[in-house]
Amino acid sequence: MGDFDVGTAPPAGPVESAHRLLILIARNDEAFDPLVTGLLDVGITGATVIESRGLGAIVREDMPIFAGLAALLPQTTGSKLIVAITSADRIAALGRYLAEMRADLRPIGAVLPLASVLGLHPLELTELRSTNQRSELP
Amino acid sequence: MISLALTSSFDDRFRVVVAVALIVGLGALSLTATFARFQRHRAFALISSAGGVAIPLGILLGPLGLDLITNDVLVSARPLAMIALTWVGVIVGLQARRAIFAAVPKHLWRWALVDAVICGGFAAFAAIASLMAHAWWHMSRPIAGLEAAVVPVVALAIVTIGWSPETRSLRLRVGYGVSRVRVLVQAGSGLASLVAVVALGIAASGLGREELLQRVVEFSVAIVCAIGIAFGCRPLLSRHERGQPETTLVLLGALALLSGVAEMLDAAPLFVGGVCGATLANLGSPGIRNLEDTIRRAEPALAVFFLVVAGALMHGADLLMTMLFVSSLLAIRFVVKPGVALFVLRSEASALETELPLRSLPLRQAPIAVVVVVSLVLASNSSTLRSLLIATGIAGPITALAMVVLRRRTRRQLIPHGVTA
Repeated sequence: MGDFDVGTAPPAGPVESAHRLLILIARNDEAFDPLVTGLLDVGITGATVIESRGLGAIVREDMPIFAGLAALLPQTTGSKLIVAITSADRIAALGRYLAEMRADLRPIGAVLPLASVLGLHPLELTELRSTNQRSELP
Repeated sequence: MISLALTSSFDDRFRVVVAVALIVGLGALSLTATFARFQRHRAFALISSAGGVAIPLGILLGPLGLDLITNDVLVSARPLAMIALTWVGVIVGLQARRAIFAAVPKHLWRWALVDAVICGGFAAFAAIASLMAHAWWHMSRPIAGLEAAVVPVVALAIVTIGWSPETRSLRLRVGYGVSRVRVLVQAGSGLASLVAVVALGIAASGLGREELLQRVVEFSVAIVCAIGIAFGCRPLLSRHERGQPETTLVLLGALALLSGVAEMLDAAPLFVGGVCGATLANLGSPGIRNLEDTIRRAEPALAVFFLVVAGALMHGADLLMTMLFVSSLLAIRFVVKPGVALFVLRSEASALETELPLRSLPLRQAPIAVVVVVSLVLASNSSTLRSLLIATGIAGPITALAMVVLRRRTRRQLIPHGVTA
């Protein structure tokens, strides 16, 4: 991981990282609410939430057969995509939280290793680095 | 002799199993990713929504083709058809949610209701004229009995209600006008489907040999039972850990009960299912939402199911009556419906015309029309209703083709003036 000054602007270039990219999809509003609680509980306080729609909803949009009145409903299905850069131990903690959630509310998700990160605030990087180091302790 | 009878019985049952497997299999194919991919082609979307794929397939598998789906087989498999009809009814009824009704614009209410009343009236008049012309032409074969004469009149009136909700093939551009056109086409069609199902329910209960009071009582009991079944689903689905298998099981149980109620009380299964669907839609618990999703996902499969069955039933009709019905349907689609649309939506016209010619919006036949006629043919196997079924099968692709021609002509007219449609 590259050097940087704590408390200043984010580093201009990419910073080598042992971080993970967490991607979660909450199917609806009901599933989203406990997920936010879980993220906060495990210490993931920064994430980007994007309103999303399933492919099935898009495919069905133009081709209703018997029930066209649904066109009057808002085109959002409540599905949300959550993207966060976080540490491995927080993801492990989140996994334990998700395992205790109701099966129908559990999000679909993926975790990807990151070669480097861009644009994160130095404080966030420090925090992430410290949690990564903690998780690497025997 | 006994062994011959057993072989014959086994053969009959085997034919039923093969036919049901074929129909259900074709329905299941429509839920595959390959079918969804095909429907991304606008031409395929247009053709398939008009029944241009499944109906010929039904004809091919029916008595006029390979004779795999015979009339006897369809009569034997009637309970399955009743469940499927109830399922379609539930899908239509699920739209009747308070939140959706509150969002229906006034002009859409006006259009759907005025269209249903005027087109239904014209269709009833056309059906009476067709029946009289038929009786005059075949002096020896007049339609006997009041009910036998009234059923096709009511059926033709219901068939003309509404229009196709498919917008994939319309090539709408991205923009404000597009959403208005889409809402008008899809939501208007949905409202019209509701009107058609309610009209069918009332008509089916009104047509019978029993006394009026008995019909009213049976009609009311059918409604109460449908509402009761919807409420019965609630505790079964209220436990949050209910997964897809449990939801499907509850759905099948509810549909079997509903179709049993419809059969027992001589009610239209589409209507009974519609009442149950409307009740479910307004209960609003998480388990019910899962049930709604399961019900709606089967929509393409049910459409294919009924289109294939319709194709297989397209035989044994009267040629003259078929021609009279086709003429009536096309006249109403090409003359009456565009007139109603232009009159009712005149305030909306300027916003819509750049996207799509207003008169082409209600041109295409609604898929519910085929389902309604199939339900009537399965209930009373008359040649007049079979004629109407064939007429419905012919009018669907013709109206779809006409809409394409009309849209191309409009585009050619608009482009020289610098407007792209």
